[in-house]
Amino acid sequence: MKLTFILLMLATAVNAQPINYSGGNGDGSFVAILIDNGSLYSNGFSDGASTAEYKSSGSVYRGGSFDGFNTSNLYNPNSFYAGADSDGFSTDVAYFYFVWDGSTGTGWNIASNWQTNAIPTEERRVRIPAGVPSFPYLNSGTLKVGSDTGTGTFQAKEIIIEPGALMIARINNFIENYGLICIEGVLELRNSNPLAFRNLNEATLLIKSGGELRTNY
Amino acid sequence: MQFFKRTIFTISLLTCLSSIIWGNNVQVSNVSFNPIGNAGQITFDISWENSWRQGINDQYHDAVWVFVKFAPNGGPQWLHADIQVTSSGSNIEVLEPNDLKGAFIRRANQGMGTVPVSSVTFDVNNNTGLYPDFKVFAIEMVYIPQGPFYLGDGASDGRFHVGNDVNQPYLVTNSAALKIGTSSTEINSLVNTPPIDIPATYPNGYDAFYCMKYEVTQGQYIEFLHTLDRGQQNNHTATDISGTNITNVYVMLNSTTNLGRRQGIKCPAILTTSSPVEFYCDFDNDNIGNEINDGQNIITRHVNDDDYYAYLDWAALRPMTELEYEKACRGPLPPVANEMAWGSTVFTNFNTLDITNPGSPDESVSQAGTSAGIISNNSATTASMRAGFAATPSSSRTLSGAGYYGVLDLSGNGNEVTISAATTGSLHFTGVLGDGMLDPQGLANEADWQGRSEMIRGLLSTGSNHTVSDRFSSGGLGSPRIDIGAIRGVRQF
Repeated sequence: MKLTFILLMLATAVNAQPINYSGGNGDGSFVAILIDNGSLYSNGFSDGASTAEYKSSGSVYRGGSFDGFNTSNLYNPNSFYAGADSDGFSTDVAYFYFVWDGSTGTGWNIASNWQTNAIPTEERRVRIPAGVPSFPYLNSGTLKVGSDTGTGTFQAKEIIIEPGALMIARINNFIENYGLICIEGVLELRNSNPLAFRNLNEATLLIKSGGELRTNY
Repeated sequence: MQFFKRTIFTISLLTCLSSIIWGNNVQVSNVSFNPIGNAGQITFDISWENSWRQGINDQYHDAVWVFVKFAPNGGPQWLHADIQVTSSGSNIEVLEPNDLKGAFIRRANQGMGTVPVSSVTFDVNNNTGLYPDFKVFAIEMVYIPQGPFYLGDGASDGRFHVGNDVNQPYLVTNSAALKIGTSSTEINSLVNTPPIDIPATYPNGYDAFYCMKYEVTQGQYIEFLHTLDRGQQNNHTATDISGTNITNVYVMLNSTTNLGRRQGIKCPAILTTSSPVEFYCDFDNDNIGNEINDGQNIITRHVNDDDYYAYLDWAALRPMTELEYEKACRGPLPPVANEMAWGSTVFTNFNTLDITNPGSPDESVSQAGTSAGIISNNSATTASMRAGFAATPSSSRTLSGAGYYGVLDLSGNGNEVTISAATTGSLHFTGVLGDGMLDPQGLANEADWQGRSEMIRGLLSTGSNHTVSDRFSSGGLGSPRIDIGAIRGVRQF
């Protein structure tokens, strides 16, 4: 009696969720395994490896790839899958920046003008913030920005001049950018030589909204 | 009676799974480091959409594998951090592995939906040196719970089967050794038969593990390259990037152009002499990198053995075995002859003209959402697609092409590289996890992984199209970079 009840319940479940094997939208949420008379798996339920879980005499199988075995699709009408940016991966970075503090004066190559109390080299990312006692003045020589650029009088891997900040390249100074210079404040070029500032090797000069590159000197 | 018990068991599983959804869009942001002595604490925010945690003992859930790299003294060398959680937001639960090489983060309670932005802080146990840079990486994973499952489907090429019947799938009921033989209690296979019994130390899929939800994308591979020095990078690109003038700027193809191969990882034409290369994606070949349609979310192919193992070691994951692959696809369900990862033989081929929004974060095909089992016809122009390209806001398992637990693209898109059970050497693989560190050449250095051979699964082959149980293609990726495999890792917890 109990067995019959379970059978009835199962049959009801199948009938209530019709299975569509043609791959359309009517996929049932109930998985049944169809038994096909020509199936390799028609040898009963007791061998421990049978795939025949439910024999549906009232199968709604309607053709398609007739392989004798099939499952219904797992249909989830309430899926929240957004369908975009689904690469399952993200990364974020926190770089260490050498931050200018200008507590001693305007000299780039003076360690005490940097929060780290060390002079940046070509491996270092640099930030020039606003609100410091003095801003950096680059005197004669070349500022080389970017890794593996060879010796420069002044060096950094990347420079960010923050809003309200100022960096001045004086009349005898040259800048070669192989990396990234981002201007959110002001970069003032006082050398009128056409080669006073060069972007090289696909370097990036980024002047953000509000940033200024002053060259009329 | 056994029949009814099994049927009811199946029904209960499906009741749990019927509302499972496929998570995506993991985001890590606001990374900060607070130095404390020689080490310190790292804090970041994490969120993702469409998470789930359901079932008895949370047997159905997704999670995010997070790990941290740091570069003392500004690099170029990036080292793997050992981390221990100190605090986390109330929306998430942090699971710490014993090796401290990262952590799994899952939603705090049972349910589903978006995990809102949550802050988490870890102690960094390493001496981070002067002026360290930090990178946090997050990879979406799917939990594959412990439990029995079937190997073989009675139909696919080279399939596993019960020893005395090539048509009967073999039921794995525990993690003990599997005896090879011809009796009804032993396992065997049509071809590539294990030459020895499958040892208990070889991960046979019974025990639980986490599996990457998607294959490694091009944006993801670039981030891997960006933690390597120049020489190491050169060992993971097809183009020789040791010089300063590069002609074949599409570095995974060793080509001047993308040529429709959908592999858009590119380097500048002029390089410095020795510093690491800054790669970018330029899928549309317009010389403007990392635009919205530059294919960052398309899977990376044209990888070789060295790339595959190195990525997994670097990410502190490990390769999956071919038995684990069948578990991830089929789950506990009975096999279906010639089924693909979505549990059905139904499939829909697409061609180049069917691709919509090529290279974009929502790249898909016109059949998505309406056709079951969408797979490429395996031409060069369609073989690599956005990870999870077939899934839509309302897609079912078959429509999205998901495995039983929600892993995407197990059949189709890139083929799956697995540790083979066909050779004695590979059967001695014990599932040692990567430690995050590579050798000086940038190669994997896990002794447990050396000398293993691979079985390519989910492969398009004659007679069995991307089927779960096809194991005809042994031998793996080899050294030449050909358009075969992709990268997907697993990790036990």
